[in-house]
Amino acid sequence: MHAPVSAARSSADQQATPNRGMTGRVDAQALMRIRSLELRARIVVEGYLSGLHRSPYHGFSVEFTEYRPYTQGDDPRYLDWKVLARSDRTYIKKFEDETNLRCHLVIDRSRSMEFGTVGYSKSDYAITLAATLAHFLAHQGDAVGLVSFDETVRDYLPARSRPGHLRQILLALERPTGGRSTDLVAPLERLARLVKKRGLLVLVSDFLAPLERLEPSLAMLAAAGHETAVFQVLDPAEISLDLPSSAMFEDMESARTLHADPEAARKAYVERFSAHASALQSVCARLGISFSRILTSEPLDLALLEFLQRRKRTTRVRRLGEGAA
Amino acid sequence: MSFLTPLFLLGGLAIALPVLFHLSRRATRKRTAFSSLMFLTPTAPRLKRRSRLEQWLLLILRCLALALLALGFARPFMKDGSPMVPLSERPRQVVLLLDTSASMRREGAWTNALTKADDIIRSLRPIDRFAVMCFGRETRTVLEFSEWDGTPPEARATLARARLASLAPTWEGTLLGQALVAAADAFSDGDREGQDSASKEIVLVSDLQTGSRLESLQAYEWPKDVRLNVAGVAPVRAGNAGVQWLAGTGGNAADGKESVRIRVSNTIGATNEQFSLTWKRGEVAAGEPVSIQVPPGQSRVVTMDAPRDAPGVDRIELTGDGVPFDNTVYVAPPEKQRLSVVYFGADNPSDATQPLFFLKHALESSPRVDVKLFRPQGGEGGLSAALASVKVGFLTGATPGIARPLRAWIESGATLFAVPSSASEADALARAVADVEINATDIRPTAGGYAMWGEIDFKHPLFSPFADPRYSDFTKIHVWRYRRLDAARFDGARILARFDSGDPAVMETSLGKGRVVWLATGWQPIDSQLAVSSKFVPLVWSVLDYANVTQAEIIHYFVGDSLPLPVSTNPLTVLGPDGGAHSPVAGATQSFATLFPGIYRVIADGAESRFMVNLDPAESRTEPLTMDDLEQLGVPAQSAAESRSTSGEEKRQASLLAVENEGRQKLWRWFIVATLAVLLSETILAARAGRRMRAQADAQEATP
Repeated sequence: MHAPVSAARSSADQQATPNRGMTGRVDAQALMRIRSLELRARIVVEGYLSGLHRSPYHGFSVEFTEYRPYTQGDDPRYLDWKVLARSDRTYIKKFEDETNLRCHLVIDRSRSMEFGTVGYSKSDYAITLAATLAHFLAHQGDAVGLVSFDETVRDYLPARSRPGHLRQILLALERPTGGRSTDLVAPLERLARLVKKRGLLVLVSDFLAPLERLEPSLAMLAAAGHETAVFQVLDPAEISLDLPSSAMFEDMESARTLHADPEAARKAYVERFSAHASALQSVCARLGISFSRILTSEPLDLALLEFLQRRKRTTRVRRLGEGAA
Repeated sequence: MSFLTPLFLLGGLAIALPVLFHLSRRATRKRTAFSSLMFLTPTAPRLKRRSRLEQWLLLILRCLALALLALGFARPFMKDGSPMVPLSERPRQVVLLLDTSASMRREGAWTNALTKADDIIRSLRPIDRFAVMCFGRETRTVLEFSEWDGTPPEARATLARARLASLAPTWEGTLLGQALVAAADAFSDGDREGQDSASKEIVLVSDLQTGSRLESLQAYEWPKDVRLNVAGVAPVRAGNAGVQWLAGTGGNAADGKESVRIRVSNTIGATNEQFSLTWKRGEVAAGEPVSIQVPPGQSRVVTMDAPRDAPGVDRIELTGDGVPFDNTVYVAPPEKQRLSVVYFGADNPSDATQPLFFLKHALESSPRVDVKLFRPQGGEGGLSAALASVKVGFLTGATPGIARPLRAWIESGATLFAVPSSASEADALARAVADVEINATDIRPTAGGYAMWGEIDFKHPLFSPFADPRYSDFTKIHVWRYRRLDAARFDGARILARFDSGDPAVMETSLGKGRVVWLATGWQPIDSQLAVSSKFVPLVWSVLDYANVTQAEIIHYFVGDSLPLPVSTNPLTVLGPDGGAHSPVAGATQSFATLFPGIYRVIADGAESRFMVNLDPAESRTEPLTMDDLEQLGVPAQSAAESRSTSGEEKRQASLLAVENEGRQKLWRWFIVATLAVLLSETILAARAGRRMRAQADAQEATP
């Protein structure tokens, strides 16, 4: 179920196709210079695929069958009669219906995401990441939906896998938003109502909000049975407060100003920031949410790879867990 | 260096502003957007010493510009070397201008004024010059500079005091403007050598009442070197109410009452507002008082009916006001005049075809005039006695047997209006009164059936009331028949009117002191339409006026006005309100100056004219003027208290000198030029510094 490539590559984009380094990674800076979001997504996905030289079909929805010994109480309908006939052992064939994954990409479009010191903003990076994931999933035939939010839900495209839906998602991602502050509570509550069917939620945000507000929302999503993956997109300068000179700093969301000298304030900042980050990470771990931190300077396909591998692990763990249950 | 407006130097404090700006400029000029401030702690801005030092030149330039501007506004000037003669050592020329108007009659005003005048005399030194003028309606010089100069210094004060003692408040109005002009001019008249440095000073001792007239100052340019010190004189009582004669309403024909309209005005600040008005004859009240309420600052007009049972009332007095000088208004209700007119004729007064019928109605009595029209009775002796007191007569019939007394009566000064009813009667009358044969003929015009009045001498007193073109049309009066009188037969006959045929219609001949006015046609309907025309009654009364038997209208004058005296060859007598009789030289004096309010009587040729002379009503407005009122007219007035402080005066002189010096030197211009130059260099420097800083900033950005 390939999404049709409707947008013809422009010659400019062809020329701008970034070279791959020795590692086969796509340089994020070069990638972000490409104007077409679809092209960006494709480059990452194809690069990932070609670099891996492995079967592409080992995504979320690839069926995974397993056998376990029949125990008393199991439904005899699920007995694998072939195995029984061949080896005279009673094995239960696990449910192997091939279902398509329903994935919702939840993208933070608030104003703090507009920050960027590497030539592009976190928001640019986030939507490229979202587009890449959407492309990848659509490529596999999974249903992809999109939820973008700032202090409320801005765009909602339900998860679908029909042709042309990817195009809609890409358009929605490219649409500029005039979002303000980050508020995960209201959008995620709304999301919980919108997305009834359990599936995968990929949440892309900088999570620069008080943790006590983030935690209940994430907990709610996890409790709703959604498999949730979190990408924290950060600018390198946000981690190390690597700013040139002292200045009057203005909060992009609240417009609050304060004067600070980065050199003087760095130590305290880094401490508080990493405390927040590790707290977030531990919250995610507690809730069973897959957490990845991506810096905007890092190659995007690396992020994709890391995510897929992690997901593979977690899915296996989960399936094992389910099997054990 | 001194400053004209040193307060502007405070503007130099603005220097603090650029210093402050330079200090605070570093606070923060750059804003950096950051995703979230939740992990950031504020740190105090660090001042970099380097940046302050870098712009010290700009700072100095900015401060300098402000300082120069403040200095320029403070109007600096250099004092020149000429030392100022202290005012107290300079000779003074002082004109004491003393108000002697009627309002100075208020209690305490005059004594106060004399005290102030005495103070001024005492303050004079031998080097000073002094003159005294007093004013009401007229400005009079009481003591001249030349007299002062000519008197030994030790006797000068005595002389001035003696002159002042001879003065007293008059009853006149106040022409203050005219007096000030006269006093200011007195300096130019009295200037003498060596007095250039003397200060010229007018000391006005006056109550400065609002009723003072200042109009003369409007067209007068006050001399710059003459100062006016006002020594205000306050009377004991502040408020005042006054009465003013407005108009006599004339007799009311219905009830024969004479009434007068009076305005009662009350000044602002008066304590009383309840007054009453009473008619008086002399000092004796006549009739009931009329109560009236006039709130302070307002006026009321009252119509006062003359008491019928009290003839001879001559004034109305206001009671209830504590300031009495203007509480009496003199009013002369015209007394009823009795006129005797003799009629020579035998016709029946009730026959509407006869002349007497019309004459009797034309001479009806009125409330003002009581006319007695009588026919002489008795023989010649009785006739002479009856005519002795009569000055005018009408004759329409034959005069058998009375020719001699008639002629004697006319010659004694009487006026006879002769209207012979036929040619023979005209001949007989001409023979009787002038000894001439006129051979009159009766004329009945055939062309058109009537004659008309043609040429009329409107300059003659008989016809002068008709001179206005609105009344001068006599052509509507048709004359059916008339007598042709030959004017040439009379000696010195004057033809006053002619018929359209050219024959005389009205002719005047003199006889002794008297005169005969001939009317060639009768007014009764058989002769003409004269009696039924609108001209008849005025013509008859015009004859009486011409005979000088009617009384002149009462005319209203103010004290100080001159009464016009009638032209007369006989001696005149003017009876003033004080009872004294004055006899101006006949012919030489055509007017008589009034000094007191009251009723003046002018008796000339046995006839009496009465004149009401009252106080100028402006004198009743006694609220004091302010110095501003004088200042507005360009008179630099200051009150006595101000002028007394010599140090204040010296200060004023010094400031005048400073203004003059500053105006000549105009140093402020150079300061402004310097300010502009500094600002220009500041702009250039700032632009350079700005460029340099931008270049540095760019360089910093280029090297992360």
